[in-house]
Amino acid sequence: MRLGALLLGLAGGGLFLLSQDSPQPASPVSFVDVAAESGISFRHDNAASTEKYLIETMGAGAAWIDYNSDGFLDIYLVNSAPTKVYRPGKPLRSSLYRNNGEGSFTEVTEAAGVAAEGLFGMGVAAGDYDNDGDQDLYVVGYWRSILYRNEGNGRFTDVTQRAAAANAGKWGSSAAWFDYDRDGWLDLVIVNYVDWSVQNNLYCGEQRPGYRSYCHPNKYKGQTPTLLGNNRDGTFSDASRKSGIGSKPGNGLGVVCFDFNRDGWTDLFIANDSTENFLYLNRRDKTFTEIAVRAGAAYGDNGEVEAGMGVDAADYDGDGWPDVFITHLDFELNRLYRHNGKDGFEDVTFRAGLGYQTFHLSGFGAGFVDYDNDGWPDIFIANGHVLDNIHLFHAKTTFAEPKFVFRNLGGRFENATGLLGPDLARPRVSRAAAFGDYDNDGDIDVLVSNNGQEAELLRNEGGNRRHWLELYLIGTRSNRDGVGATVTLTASDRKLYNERKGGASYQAAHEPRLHFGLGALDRVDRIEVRWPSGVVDVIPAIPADQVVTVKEGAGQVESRFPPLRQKGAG
Amino acid sequence: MIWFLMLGFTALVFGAPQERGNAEQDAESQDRLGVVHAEKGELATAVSCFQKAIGLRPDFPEAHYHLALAYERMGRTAEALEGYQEAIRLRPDFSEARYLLAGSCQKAGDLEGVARLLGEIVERAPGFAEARYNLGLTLQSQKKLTEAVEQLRAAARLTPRNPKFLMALGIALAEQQHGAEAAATLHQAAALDPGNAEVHYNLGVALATAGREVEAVQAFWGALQRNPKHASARRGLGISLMHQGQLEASLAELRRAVEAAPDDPEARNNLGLVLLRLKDPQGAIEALEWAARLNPRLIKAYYNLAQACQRAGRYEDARRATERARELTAEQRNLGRAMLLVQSANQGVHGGDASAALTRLREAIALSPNFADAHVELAKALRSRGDTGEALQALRRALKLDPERADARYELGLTLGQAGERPAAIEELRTAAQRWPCFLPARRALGLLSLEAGDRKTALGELRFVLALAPLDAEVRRALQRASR
Repeated sequence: MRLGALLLGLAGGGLFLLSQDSPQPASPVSFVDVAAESGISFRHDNAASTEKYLIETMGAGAAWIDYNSDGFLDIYLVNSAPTKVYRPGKPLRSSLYRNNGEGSFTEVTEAAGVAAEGLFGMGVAAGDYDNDGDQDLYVVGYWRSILYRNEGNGRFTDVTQRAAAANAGKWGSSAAWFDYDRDGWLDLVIVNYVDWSVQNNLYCGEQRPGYRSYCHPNKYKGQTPTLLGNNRDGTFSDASRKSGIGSKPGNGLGVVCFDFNRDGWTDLFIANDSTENFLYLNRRDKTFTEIAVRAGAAYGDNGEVEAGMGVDAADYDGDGWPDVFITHLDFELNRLYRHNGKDGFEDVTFRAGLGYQTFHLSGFGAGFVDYDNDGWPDIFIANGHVLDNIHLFHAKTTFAEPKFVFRNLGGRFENATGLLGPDLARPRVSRAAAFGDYDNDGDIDVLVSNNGQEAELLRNEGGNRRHWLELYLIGTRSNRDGVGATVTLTASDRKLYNERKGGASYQAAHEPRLHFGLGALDRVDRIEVRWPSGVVDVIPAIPADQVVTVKEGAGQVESRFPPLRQKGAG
Repeated sequence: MIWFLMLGFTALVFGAPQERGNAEQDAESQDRLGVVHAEKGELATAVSCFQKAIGLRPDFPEAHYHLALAYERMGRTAEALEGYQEAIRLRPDFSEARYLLAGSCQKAGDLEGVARLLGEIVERAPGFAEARYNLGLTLQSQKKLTEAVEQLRAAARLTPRNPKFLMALGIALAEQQHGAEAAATLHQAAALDPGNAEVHYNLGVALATAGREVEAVQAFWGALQRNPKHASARRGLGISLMHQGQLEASLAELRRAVEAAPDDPEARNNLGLVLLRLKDPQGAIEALEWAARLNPRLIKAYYNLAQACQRAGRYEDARRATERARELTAEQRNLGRAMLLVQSANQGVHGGDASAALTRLREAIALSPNFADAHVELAKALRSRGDTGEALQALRRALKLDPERADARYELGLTLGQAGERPAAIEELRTAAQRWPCFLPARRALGLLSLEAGDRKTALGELRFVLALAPLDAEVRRALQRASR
């Protein structure tokens, strides 16, 4: 009534730079879980015990990685390990699944040598750290992590010790490859959680049978993030303190590396659990300054810190500046911070229509994903509570929760979850959500890792009814993955901004291609790629609905992303 | 707040008044006469009658009870307590006496005593709705929410159309974050008591907590219509409007909230927030500094202040405010961990691992030196090992931190006794018994120690009180027998 009208008036009042091309009506898109039929049998074992070790409930990770460089995204899923009080019936291993190119996957973990057995795994990051043309794997874990170097022949080698990349003694959560010093080699940031250990494990919850709970992280001390600087010879040096990134502890869970102030240098945002978030501004001299408070993104607009888990950055409102989205626990809000175009953010959670819609859900993996290819980044959230006995404390809350999708209407969001098929509604204890076009059909699919449950492969069906373009970057002077490159795509009167980020979501690694939804536009007028090296490549007009490969300094080169074959075909 | 139903004197009148003539010799008649005077407000005369009744028949529980009631109404709490105690001693199943004794304990601030007494009452008389209601409120103030909700639910079931019970239940459910049920319950209370502004206010709070801001606004308006001076409703309205993006309207309401309650730090904090959003950093700074002055431990006020100072270009002030917020957050975290360590240590003590328990307790104190619980528990663990010297130091620290700790005073008494300092022990226990009259352990220890010291009068008084409330305590019974010889 009166209040409602006032609210609408505010939202439409020019607060956002809406593109002249208004969003089109929703098209019939659905996400279908095809994990089982695709041959993905992985089931995460969370090592759950009555001791309620905090590590049990926080994992684990999921990655898209084209490990054999055949143009099809493969899958890596992280598992846990035995503990003092948990002895599984069979060995616990992480799993690598090869994409067969016709819709199915085959497990190749042992052949590839990436089982990470004995590692209580958390997140994962995929990147070509040695610039040799294939994707390496960093598996983050509790107390240590593993760096697997891709040998290019279907096998990996554990080079952790040699590379000095163990992150020893820390509880690593998420990790991201990015080039912080623009020397053309990928460095690695690992966000670390808290100083929990078996020795300092506490009894939390009520003192009656069944009521023991996982402790809140604020019962422990936060750990500082780790920055490993690439020495360009296969080894890394710990640059945490020197760079300033390790200057203060946080309860780090999620990280995204992106160019916050569009100065060509990659900054990074860390989502911390129940303490201030960090925004590390790259000072271009191998050091960072933490500015989240100043930038207005350290905590919610009510002045309260929240349980930050998943995080992503993208230009959701088409003004050319990257905005940030962070997931939190139930009874907190998932926050949307809109870039103010200068030096900070504004919390627009309510004004953008998100508000309380996910108030009773605990969000983990999340990202800006244009699932319907209308050119407006939507928001996908994988939910799952932290407490496996939450129903004893909150009657209406469950451990397993449904997914949530917000459709972007051009700067405001609406809940589209119910329109996207029943598989999103199935309650799961979700953690990582990794985004990639695994079937090369032009729309983004989602790989979800679930705590103590089977993984999900949510294939996007119908998203490619609208036009799209995917961009694959090959750096030459810049790092080979092109992390840090920014792209401006012009199509008709639309300008879309994207960036080859590091990290994003929660404990996840995403596909390397940049995806653009084009709506009804069937051609692109111009693509401008700014590389971290400073080189600029411009691709003139090209048709939509293809994968374009851009090599630094050479412009467009041949692509190698075939469509899915029919099963049985050669 | 606990409202105790003052059971009327008429509840216990037995039959019609006796004929005149033998009134002065007849205990029951004196008692009835006392009731008549009390009902007229002639309390001094009533007391005299009840005392006569007791003089004629010392084992007359109802007369003791009526005397206690009269004393209570006259504000003579200590005498009232003795009266209830005697009534209970003479008639252990005297629920009304126990109930009002609990009320006296509540006035004395002895929540543990209240909870224990009310718990016994509802066990004996499960249909006593008012007792369940008050027990629920007591448990809620002790943060035992699950048990509080259980009692309040039972009270509401026994008298379904009691808006007071429903409101209390709704508030407890909202505190437990059962928003939907809280709102439904408070709606029921509002329907039964439509003129009650407090119900509408609490409904608003429950709805806002559940994220139902539009409905919350309606509820807050409802409270203000019924009581325009309801400062908390005004504040709640302002906050909900802010969440809906109606910043100007929010500003107006929060300004009025601050006018109505100038010492409300939350109102000032939210006023600062909305000013910040309206791009008035100077105004925001003023409001937020005030909030922090009113509540120096309001962490979010410092974070908001940091934001405001940042926007106003006062970078050094922003840095200081952020640092203060971080310090307080760290303190809070340390206190949380200390609480768990104490809990864990107690389990260790009971499990026989005293050494590990001591380590955890010392760790708790190192983390949170002002956490009185940790000092008390450390003292207990040390005393159990015979280390009375260090135990005494720990208890003195606990009492310095929190002079209102009944258990610390009691433990101090016990420890002094164990250390051979009997007079000092008795002094501490006497202080505990006077300050927290329903704290049975202190009174028990005082009775036993007084008997040892040859003070039969004190011993008899204390031991009788304890036995009245804990009739199965064999040691006290034996001690009382010795004291009576």
